[in-house]
Amino acid sequence: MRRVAVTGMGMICALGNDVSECWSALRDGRSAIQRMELVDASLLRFQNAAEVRGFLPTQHFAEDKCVQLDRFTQFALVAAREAIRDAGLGDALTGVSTRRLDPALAEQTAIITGSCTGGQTSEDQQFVELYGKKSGRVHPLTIPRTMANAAASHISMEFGITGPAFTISTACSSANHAIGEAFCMVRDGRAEMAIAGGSEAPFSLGMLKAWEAMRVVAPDTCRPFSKDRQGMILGEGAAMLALEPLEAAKARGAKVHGEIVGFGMSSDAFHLTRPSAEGAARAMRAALEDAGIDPAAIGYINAHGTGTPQNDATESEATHQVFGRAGHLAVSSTKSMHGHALGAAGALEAVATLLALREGFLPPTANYNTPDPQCDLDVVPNHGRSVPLEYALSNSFAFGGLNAVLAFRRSS
Amino acid sequence: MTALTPTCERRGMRYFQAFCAIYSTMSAMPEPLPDPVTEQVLALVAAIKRLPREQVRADSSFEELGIDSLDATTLLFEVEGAFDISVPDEQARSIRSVRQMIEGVKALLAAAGPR
Repeated sequence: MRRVAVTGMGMICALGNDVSECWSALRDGRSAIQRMELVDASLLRFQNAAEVRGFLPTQHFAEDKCVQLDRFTQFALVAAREAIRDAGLGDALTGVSTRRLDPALAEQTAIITGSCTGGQTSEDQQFVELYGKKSGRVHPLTIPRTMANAAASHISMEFGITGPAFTISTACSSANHAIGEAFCMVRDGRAEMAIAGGSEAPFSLGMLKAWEAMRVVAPDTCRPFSKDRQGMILGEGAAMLALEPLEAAKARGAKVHGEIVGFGMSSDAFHLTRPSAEGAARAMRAALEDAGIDPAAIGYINAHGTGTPQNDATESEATHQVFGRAGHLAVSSTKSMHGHALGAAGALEAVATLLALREGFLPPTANYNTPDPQCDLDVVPNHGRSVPLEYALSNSFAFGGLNAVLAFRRSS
Repeated sequence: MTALTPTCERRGMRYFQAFCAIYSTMSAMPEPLPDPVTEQVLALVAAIKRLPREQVRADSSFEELGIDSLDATTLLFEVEGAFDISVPDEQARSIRSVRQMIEGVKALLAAAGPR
């Protein structure tokens, strides 16, 4: 089996429009949660969100192209361009021209994207026309904009990538499942390169009303692991990774941000929305086993940490089941800063985890007020911290009880 | 079977069933006659959990009725629609029994005033 290197990273979310802007906010513990602008907040019980601000599609895409792209696909393309450019593979100049990948490599390159709601915002807009304004018809691009695989398809077309490409939709675990599967394909020799990650843009009134009805969104902000936490805060954005065999990366002189060393999955078989500590623990153990490392080797976990009363208590219990109560383990939830970007969450957090390893610096859990005995972990409250790290995990646990955990290693 | 059962026995069975129905009503008597709000909440709970109406009582806890967090949000949704009210999330979180739901609805209706 081959070692798998991450040689490219791209990211756009409420924290910034590229990896460097996002990392600067993550380092400083700056939360991007504020009053939402994309949807009329006066129609909702919650008013705050982590939205991508100042994003003008026409700065990134030709106008005729914009019509084809739902916001979630736009984010995916922006992140994929950054990742491919960062990997030194394409020449993705923003909004102008893109150089296609070498055809021999392109044929052996996989694209796996994750998304929970796909282009639901486009669908919502058209249904307003249909049901609200009685238009009697919808735009002919509604289907190609809405389909969850639109992001993978547009990445493939823009870069001429002709290998296996597909989309995984497992709610909040989508991106971790996508990156995990891409990791396995590269490790096993089923692909020589992979572009993998997740994207999400869930801000339509219909979607937010559905979240409101579930009563899991906080009225103030996202305070993971804090005793006074009241729920999650929705976010949006995308992150993409370029993966390739470590030997190939070294041979072509590519810089290596870090390695993916393990992938663990499990399903709770328990409840549609309530998490299970046993299921989460099994996924973490599976990732450790896949990586062939002891729990004691892990110095940091980027938690699922949604900020709901149930998730954080259950995830803490699961962490204790796997790691005992060893003092060295730090656990933080960066959702406190970039919100819960659903099908993109695991991808944003993969970048955060890779940078934590590379920089030897733990991003904090922001907005933290009060310790909760049910969340008895070192959650790196409010201030980041310099710590040399070798291995880290990143957790994603989805509604429906589908869990996916990635194990990362610092570049040696 | 019915054709082979003598008429008197069938009639006897009907009397017995009628007696059982009356007896079960009597055994539920200690609960005071429900007001319209209580009656409607009890009916909604019964409908959501697919329970016979008489099994749902105002003093039932959600746990006793097998109402989990997802059922509770569905119940809140139905209650909001039935009474044209909006239950704040904070209040919703503290409702763990049928009586708390009924009292919550009554308080919100009182706060809304006559319509």
